[in-house]
Amino acid sequence: MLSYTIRRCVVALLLAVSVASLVFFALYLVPGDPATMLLSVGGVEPPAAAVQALTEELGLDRPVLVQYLDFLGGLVTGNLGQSFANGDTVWSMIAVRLPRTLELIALATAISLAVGVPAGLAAALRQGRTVDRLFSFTASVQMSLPVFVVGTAMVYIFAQRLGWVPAGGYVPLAQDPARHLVLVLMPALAISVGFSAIVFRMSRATVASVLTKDWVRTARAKGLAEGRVRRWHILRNALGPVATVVGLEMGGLLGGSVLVEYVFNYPGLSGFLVTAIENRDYPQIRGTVLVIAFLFILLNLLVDLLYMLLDPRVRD
Amino acid sequence: MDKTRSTQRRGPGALELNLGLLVALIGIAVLGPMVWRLDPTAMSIAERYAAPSSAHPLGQDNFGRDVLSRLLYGARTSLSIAFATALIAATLGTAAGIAGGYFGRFWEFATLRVSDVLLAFPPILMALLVVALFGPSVATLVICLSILYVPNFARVAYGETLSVRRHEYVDAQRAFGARAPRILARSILPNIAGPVLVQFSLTASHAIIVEAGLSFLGLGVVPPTPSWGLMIRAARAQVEVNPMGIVWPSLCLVLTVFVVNRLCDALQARFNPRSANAARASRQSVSEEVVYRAPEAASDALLSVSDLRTEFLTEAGPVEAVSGVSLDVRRGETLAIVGESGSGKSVTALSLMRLNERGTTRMSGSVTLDGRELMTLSDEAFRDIRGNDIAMIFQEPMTSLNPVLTVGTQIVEAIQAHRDVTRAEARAEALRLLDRVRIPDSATRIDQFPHNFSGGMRQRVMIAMALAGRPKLLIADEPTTALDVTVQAQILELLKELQREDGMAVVFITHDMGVVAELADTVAVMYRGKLVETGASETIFAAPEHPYTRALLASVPRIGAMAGQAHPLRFPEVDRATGIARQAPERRDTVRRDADPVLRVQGLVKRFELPGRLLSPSPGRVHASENVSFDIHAGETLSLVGESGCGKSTTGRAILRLTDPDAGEVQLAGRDVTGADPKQLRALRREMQMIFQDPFASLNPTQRVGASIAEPLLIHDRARGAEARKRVEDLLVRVGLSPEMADRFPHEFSGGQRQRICIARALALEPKVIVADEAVSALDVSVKAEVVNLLMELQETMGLAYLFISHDMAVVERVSHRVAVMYLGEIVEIGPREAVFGDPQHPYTKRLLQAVPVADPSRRGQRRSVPAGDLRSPVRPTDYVGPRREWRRADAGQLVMSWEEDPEWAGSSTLSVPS
Repeated sequence: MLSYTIRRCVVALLLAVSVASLVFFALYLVPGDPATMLLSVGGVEPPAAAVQALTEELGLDRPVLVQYLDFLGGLVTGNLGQSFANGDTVWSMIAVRLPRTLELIALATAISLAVGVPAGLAAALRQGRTVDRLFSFTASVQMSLPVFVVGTAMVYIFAQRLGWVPAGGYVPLAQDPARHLVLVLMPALAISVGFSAIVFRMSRATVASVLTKDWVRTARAKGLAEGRVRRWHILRNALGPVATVVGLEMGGLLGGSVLVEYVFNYPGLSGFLVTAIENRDYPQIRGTVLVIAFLFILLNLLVDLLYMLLDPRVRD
Repeated sequence: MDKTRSTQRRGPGALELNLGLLVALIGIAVLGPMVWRLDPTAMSIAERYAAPSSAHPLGQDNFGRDVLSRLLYGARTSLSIAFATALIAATLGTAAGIAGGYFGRFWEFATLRVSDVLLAFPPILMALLVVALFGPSVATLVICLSILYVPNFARVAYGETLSVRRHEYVDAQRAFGARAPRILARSILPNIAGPVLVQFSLTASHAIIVEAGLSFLGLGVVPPTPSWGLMIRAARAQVEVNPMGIVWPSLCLVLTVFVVNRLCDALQARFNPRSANAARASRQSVSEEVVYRAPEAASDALLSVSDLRTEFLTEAGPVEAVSGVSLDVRRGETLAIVGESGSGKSVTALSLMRLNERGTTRMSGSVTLDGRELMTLSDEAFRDIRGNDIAMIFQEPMTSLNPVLTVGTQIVEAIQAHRDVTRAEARAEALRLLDRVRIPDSATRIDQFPHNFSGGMRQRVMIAMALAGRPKLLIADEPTTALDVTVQAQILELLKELQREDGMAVVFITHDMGVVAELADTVAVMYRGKLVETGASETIFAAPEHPYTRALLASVPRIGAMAGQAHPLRFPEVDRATGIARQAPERRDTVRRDADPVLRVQGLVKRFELPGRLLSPSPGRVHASENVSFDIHAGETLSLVGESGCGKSTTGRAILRLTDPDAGEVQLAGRDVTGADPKQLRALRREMQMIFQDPFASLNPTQRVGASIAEPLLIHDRARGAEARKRVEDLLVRVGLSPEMADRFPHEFSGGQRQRICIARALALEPKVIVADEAVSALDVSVKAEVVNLLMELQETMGLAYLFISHDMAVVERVSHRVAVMYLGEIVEIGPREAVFGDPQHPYTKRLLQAVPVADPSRRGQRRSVPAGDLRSPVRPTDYVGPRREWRRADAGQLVMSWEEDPEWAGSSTLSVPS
């Protein structure tokens, strides 16, 4: 068990180094001078002085290997560089926005699990019957609704037409808890439309497959009450694959929440990334991408470890 | 149960419907702009937000551009990006996945690790990063998304390739000398196409959404190119002024994604048998339908079954699996229900427990236990019977226990389901039960998970669980079929002992007449859902009345029946209608002893390294084949026998170089096989073929059987076109099938027919040697006899030499000229069949022969009890050096490895045991 944990951690670490290297060298994959590329807008050649200034600022004139080691060293000490925009450190700007995005994702996940798992179980136990067909059809409609379409519709209907909620924005929890909740809930619900459908489908499929297993028949042959069969021999065995999918989806949301943050004007990390791209703020882009990718790797590691707790066969 | 895998068709096609819709969408995207010729970029500020008119049916946007034409061009953008992306990703990813899965080593590492790195980026994030560097454009988007989706295809293709590669039809193709490109094109690609196609539609739908999303952010398609995402972006700003502006592109987007998603689901249902089953099980109600019909006469037996009928409701209408079965079981008695696949014996057992698939089963009749009618009980009341009055154990101990709960938990819950005891008391009881079923070190084992137990030990756990409710009746559904013969002997012994102690009645379901003779007081023979004969065990074996029973018993090989026979003997031919058996004529001696042996194996070694963990070296090696040597002459059958893990199959595969041996020499007709280069090896493979165990896995399901049989001819350029066709037809006739069957697919055949097809394929190149790896083990008794007879007939007419690998001692006795017994990778005894069976020398040979149940009740109890415990493992430490082996020749003529020095056998007597 310990050996498995250590192995997974080492793999995650190696992966993080690979990802960081890929992100670093991505700049050099683009043909031409990196500084020129970063400054050129719409094919217009930037002034040489600006290019020179940027080259010095980013230290692009140093040997690539030195830059690379410097970059890795910075990562270890938590130094992601300085933003072009206002000279703040990249990390300080991320640190403000990251918790907001994480809160949004956590809420969306909670809603999706609360809806998707029970619905999936109910549908799998009634395969082919009306409830199952209704749920399954609803889920495939939900999965066809892009999050920005849902979000835009929600803003239009609930904020602009009905005026029940503000059109978007963000208020810290300490300042106004109720308003804070509403403002997080709207984008979280928009995400949950698709997310809960994915959780539902996975739960339904896994439960349906566990239902055919011999040990479920054994449990019934023992004369166990139906409730115990469902909880201990069906749901308990279906959790692993569901956890994997939820983990992957949450990881996807780390970057994917960009759309919903944009629609709801929610000042999270991913929406911030769009601004950074529009401003061509390279250090900021690179830092944000790295932080998100690292979180993604960490999340996968947690899912792997959770899987280990759920399935004793993985432990040995 | 019927194992025929037929393709399940879902009602009138969800697949066709959605495919049609998608084609329509593509048609609109391609043709629409040709028909509706308005320029999507032509602005007319004066007409901004103009309402729908005949010139502009959907109105005009904020620049006065025609909305309909923008939607049509938007469809082009969206669909072409989605398909280009999916196509590029599918091509690259599938190629990488197949390379990784088929060639392994470097390719596997590269595919999986590169995928890991790419998958560490959430797709939208990666797209943003690339756009940040290169600036937005359609080309950037397609390249970036394609790269992102490559790992998904690579993983699917990799996993599927691994699973297809394990199938025996791939081995068969390698065995007749096909090169890698042919194997990839004929076997791998067609069989992984389904899941790859599903992934394709999944990717396309995802790409549509991502393109729209990025365009919506202004980071995807660059204006003025029309795109639905851009249209939504623009309309969002003016939603108050022009709400319809946002509705049209959203609707197009959602509909397109919906159609592609549904198509994906339909594809999945088509290619995934599991979901096809789910579809078939539609119209389920919650419980089984149970109808009580009063019995004609009351019975004082413990269990009395009267006119039991069980029907399965299928799409084609109800199918009766059990048709009016009536039987009685007295207290303490053992009733064996015997029959072949599909006879309804297992369904009968499951019906008694009401464990048939819920909702699709209808049962009627009467079942009484101790005079109490069970058919009229509610589901809830019946639950108290299950595991309490009647307990059940199943065939597959490996899958019948829940893998995520400890065995202790699973026994405790069985106890607590019926008795009002505390957890601690239940646990103490569980420990006692584990001791009763003789699980060593039960105090530690109780907290372990099922995967820590061997198959035999798991079956003991199952028995402990069944005993938890102190049942009056135990139903055992083929409980030893999946176990090795020495383990089977232990389990049968245990069941007999428990029965003696508790006075419990047992209903034993089996296809093995040896087990029946060993255990049963009464026998009930089932055939096609009906009980054809019931009677005392001695009577049934001595004087069977029903033709089917006679036919069945005539086909059963009985160990010891060959004593005094000089040559292998065919099974009697049985007339199915009358049950009269015609003894096969004596065979002539087919062995060509005058010539040199056709196959000569010297000192063959094959070891498998166990994978090491990070920073720790390999924990050991599996010694699958250790210094194995033997000769086979033309026309001779040498059997290689032993239990699972003894290395008999590996030895067969190493001889054909399906796995490369580590050391040793194999000579085929005087030519070196082990040292042959690829070209020589291909030539040698014409002379040497293989027949595999699983008739369902050894034919490529996507190829007509004619093509499968013709393939070796084509590869070796022996015949083409009409001539090949003629040869295939001749081969089919030769194995007892009809020529027109060449045009059918494997799933249209039964197990026995498929095995005949495999034999035809193996014969196509007219080989000298055939390695038959458990070739008849998966077949029913009567089919097994027929296939064995075919093999023997072919030996007579073609002078074939067989290496017959089997665990079935009774069949081996029938077919062999000589026998080699393998134990932990080594041959411990080899010699003429009569010597090995009549006067076994090595303790392991004796143990193996003693464990085989004899299909003769009068010889019951003559076996010695077999020592309890697991089979030993052939895993040795990496620095293990085997002991020097001494050989001696026994009086009867066989070579025996000396064992007196070996601690495992110390104390085994050197005297032979009377059989």
